[in-house]
Amino acid sequence: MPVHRVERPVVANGFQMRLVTMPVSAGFPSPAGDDLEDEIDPMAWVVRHPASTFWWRVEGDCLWDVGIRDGDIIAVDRAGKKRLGRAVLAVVEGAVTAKILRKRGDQYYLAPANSNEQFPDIELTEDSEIWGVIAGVVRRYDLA
Amino acid sequence: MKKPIAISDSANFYVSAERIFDPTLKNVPVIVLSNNDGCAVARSDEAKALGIKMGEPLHLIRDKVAAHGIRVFSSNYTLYGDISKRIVEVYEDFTPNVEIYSIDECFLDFTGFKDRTAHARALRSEVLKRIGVPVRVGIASSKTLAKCANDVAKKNPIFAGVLDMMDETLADLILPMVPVGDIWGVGRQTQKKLHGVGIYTAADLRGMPLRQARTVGTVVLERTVLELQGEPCLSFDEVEPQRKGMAVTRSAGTPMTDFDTLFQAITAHATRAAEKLRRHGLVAGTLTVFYHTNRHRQDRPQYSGSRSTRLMPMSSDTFDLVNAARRCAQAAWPKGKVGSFGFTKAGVLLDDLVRFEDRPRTLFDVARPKSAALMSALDRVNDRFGKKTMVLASERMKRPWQLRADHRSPRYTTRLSDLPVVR
Repeated sequence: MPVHRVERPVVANGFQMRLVTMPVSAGFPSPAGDDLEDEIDPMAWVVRHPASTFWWRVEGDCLWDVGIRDGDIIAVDRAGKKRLGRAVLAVVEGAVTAKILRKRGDQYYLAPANSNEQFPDIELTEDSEIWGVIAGVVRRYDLA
Repeated sequence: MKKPIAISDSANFYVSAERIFDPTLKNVPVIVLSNNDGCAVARSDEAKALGIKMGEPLHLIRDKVAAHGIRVFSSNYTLYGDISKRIVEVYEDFTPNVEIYSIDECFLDFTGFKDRTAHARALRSEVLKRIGVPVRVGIASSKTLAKCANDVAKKNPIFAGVLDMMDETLADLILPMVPVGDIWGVGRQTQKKLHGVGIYTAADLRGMPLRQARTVGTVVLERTVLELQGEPCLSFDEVEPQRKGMAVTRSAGTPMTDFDTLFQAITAHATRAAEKLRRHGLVAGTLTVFYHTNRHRQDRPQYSGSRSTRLMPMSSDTFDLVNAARRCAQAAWPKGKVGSFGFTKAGVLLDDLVRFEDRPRTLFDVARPKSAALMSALDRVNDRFGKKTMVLASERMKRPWQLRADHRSPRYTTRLSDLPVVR
């Protein structure tokens, strides 16, 4: 079987594949070959649908209890399923807000998740719109 | 068996893109301005209803803008490009064959789908859900007919954004109602000529004898007639012809009066052109520099200068191009009344482009083994750390000549510092 040198990155599903740089011998397989793994990519783990995922910056602590803090960057997926209990971005009266989607009786509403501070619940009306579902959060800490 | 071609596009695409991140723009009049904030190039339906015309200069509609609270944006091509790319990604889930026609229009191969209308509806609702931009879909057996179906779907809410004209009885019903000037490829001049021979609607044009079409408006019109008859003449995926030339030109935000400022702008344009050449693996043989004053200000002294030079050897090296551009710019610089001209536009044109491998070698080629490495290092730095991280000193860091974009929205999707904020 002829062996061709690969000179350009191989692209699969829009992602560049890493190539194993080790030459392949036709004899005994290298015992280390099985241990090679992809580079860790936490972003790919957070972003399930690249086309529909948009990044937002958070101001305020109304989702503190679910681990979202002031200054965090959150990935919001418009294709995510709008399930009860999930953190969502919603447009209410022309303003965008991040809250937990809940339901009481027949009424949907947006609830904060912060046991230390009081934030009001917001009822979802016909004019409100769920913009997307929070898919993940990125935070960094000072190094200096 | 005729192949179904769909075209999907977004009405007022730039406005729709602005609306994704700013809900206060919903249901209010919005316009997006052309480069340098000149005139309206996109209008929301509400702005159209107020009588704002396509291409209307901003300074003529200031009163209307103030009176009706029209929201005005500079064009944010970074954002529009990113949104466009995302929409194409959604299209790719609906067909194996997407041809990008413009920033907001794609032709889609719909061969093999049984219920095309349902398929198009699903595509439409997915784009709306995942990206937040409304699109309309027209389907037919040729590109011209598909464009026409798309137009009709856009204008008549009864179609709910999707019109499949593969059905000929439906086409027979619709084409008589479409003015011939609305047909893709029929310009104002052709429209006038067609009216002269009694052709007013798309249906009239479809029934026009081919020979007559050719005499009234050349082969282009003949092809349009065939396309209207459902005979595809513009194939799917028509190969883009090899680029023969390219241009980088910009209007300046503030008029440039001295050579140094002008040359900063020209350096930037030549640098950009060199980057584009290298990206496409090309070299150029001819470089032209031009600059001129604002022709609409006849009360000011007018000057326009332009010079060309051969690039020997043919090159895509930033230094070569900038040096050639400097010689041209200096040669064209007005003698005498220097400083009295305010240059508002400058550009660099490249011609005679060939692929790097095919470039002719000259006897006196200077061997510069390090040039290629230097250029690829330059490109890599600018790719990795952002455009203009490394520039030639003659471009300078302050750019007074740069475009006016006073009302540009943040680059919401491509800059960490510009991310939208949720409170």
